[in-house]
Amino acid sequence: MKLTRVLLCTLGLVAGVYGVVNMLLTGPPLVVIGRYVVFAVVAALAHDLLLVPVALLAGALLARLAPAWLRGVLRAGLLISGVVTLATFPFVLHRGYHPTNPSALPLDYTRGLLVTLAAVWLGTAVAAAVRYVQCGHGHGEHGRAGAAPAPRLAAGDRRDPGLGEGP
Amino acid sequence: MVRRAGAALTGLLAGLLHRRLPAPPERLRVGPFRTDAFSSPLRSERLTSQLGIALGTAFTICFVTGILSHGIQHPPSWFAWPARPVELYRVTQGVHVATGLVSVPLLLAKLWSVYPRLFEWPPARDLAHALSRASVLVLVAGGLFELTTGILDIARWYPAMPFFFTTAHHWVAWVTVGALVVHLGVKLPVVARALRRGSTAVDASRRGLLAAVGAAAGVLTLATVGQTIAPLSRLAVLAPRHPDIGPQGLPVNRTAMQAKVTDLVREPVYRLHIDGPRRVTLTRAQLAALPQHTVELPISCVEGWSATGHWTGVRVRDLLAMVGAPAGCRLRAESLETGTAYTHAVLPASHCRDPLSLLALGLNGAPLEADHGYPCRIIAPNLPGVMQTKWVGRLVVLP
Repeated sequence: MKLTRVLLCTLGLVAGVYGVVNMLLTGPPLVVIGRYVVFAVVAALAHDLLLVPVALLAGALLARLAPAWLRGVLRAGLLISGVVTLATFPFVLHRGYHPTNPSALPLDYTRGLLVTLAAVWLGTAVAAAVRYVQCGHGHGEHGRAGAAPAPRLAAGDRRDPGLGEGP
Repeated sequence: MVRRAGAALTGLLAGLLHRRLPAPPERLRVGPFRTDAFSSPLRSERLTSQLGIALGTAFTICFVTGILSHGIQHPPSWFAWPARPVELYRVTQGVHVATGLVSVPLLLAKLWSVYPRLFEWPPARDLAHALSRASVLVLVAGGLFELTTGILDIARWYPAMPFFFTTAHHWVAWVTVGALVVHLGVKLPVVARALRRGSTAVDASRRGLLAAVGAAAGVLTLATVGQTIAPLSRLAVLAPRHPDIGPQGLPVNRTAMQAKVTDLVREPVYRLHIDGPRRVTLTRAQLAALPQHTVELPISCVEGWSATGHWTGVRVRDLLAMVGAPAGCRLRAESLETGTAYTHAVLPASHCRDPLSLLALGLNGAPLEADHGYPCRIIAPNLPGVMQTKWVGRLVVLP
């Protein structure tokens, strides 16, 4: 395994260095490359400091407010809705549209997003109903019949994704 | 003696990489840096590994299809792209964009899953740890860059990117994939341990989370992939193109007005110049008088959409014969449009020979409209749309 790891790290380093060197030698001027770096850093910061905290907040609210049997279903609905909205909001904003070329971004994307989200929440509602029935009408009851089992770790799995263990 | 020197060097390197670095003072360990800061019981190494494998697979598919697309447009001397199968590029580029979109939920879920590692303590145990973290930073920033610019491009929101998309997306892809392979090398034992057989599946909630991520990818795909897979086009309510919407029932990327050719293509101004061993000049009427053929070919855009049309025109190989072009030649098609990077394209040798490659004068039973390249355009099998020159003014035979 050690040899494989060394080979992979070397291969990856070579590919990355090839990209950087080739870009510096044959690519755009340094100013433009600087803009790539800034764009990437801004994207990473926006993700780490805005997007994930929003997701964590939603998760915390879910844990606090939603009954255990409903939590997974709601989490799924929110996750799907959030991802679809994030990935397609540039179409919804319609900034790329120009009336001289109506075949580019020709649809009503606000309507499209709403229709998609409606379908997602319809599916979520169905899943919630199924879950409700599965849990033996556990809403409001105490004890095992009402609660979904807390996620336990499988044999060989670990809680923390590697905090404090070797690289 | 060489072995001892080698062992000494390896020892020196290992010592350098694993020498402990000083840790920041404990009183700074507040907020997200505390041990118990992140409480979701869903996180685990196994979840992270499963998401990582899915994401790594998706990025690899994107990289391979992307480099292929780049290679077709900027072929190195040893690369010969064939003219068949007709639909191959349509598939590879459709897969590229669809896989990129699928990567959005995968990447976001993976980053959520490892978010506590952003605040690990101490921030850099030793040099090896610091380098490993640096490679992750490159991977995260590069991956987000690729997905964000990719989506902005297919949304045609160019002002949001302060650089030319094509070159940026290509170079950052190499850097990102390099960081990905390094990351795999670093994390291999963790992945192997986490995915070992023999674990009972008690983590129903984690399965639910993975199912939700998969469902997000599925919804995103169904809502967009109809832009290239025509039978699914009715579902594609969020696709930036629809294969049936456009002049003559086909979408357009660049209009005649944007290309500023509206005056240049009018009769009687227009002439087609063909430069080979002999030189020929033709009017549109003379082109129309040559033997015409009709072929069914798709336009496959680098943006991941595609649509099929019935094109009528003169075979490229007939035009090459007219000027005495040698066997195995290539052809450069120059547009009347000037001033951008795409005003000429080279048709590879196999495409020049292929009977399906046309200088098209008509589309779907009617003369080409201005936006589709009137008076004539190149149409060929298995080629990106951007290489199928519109408003052709000159054809130049190349060796």
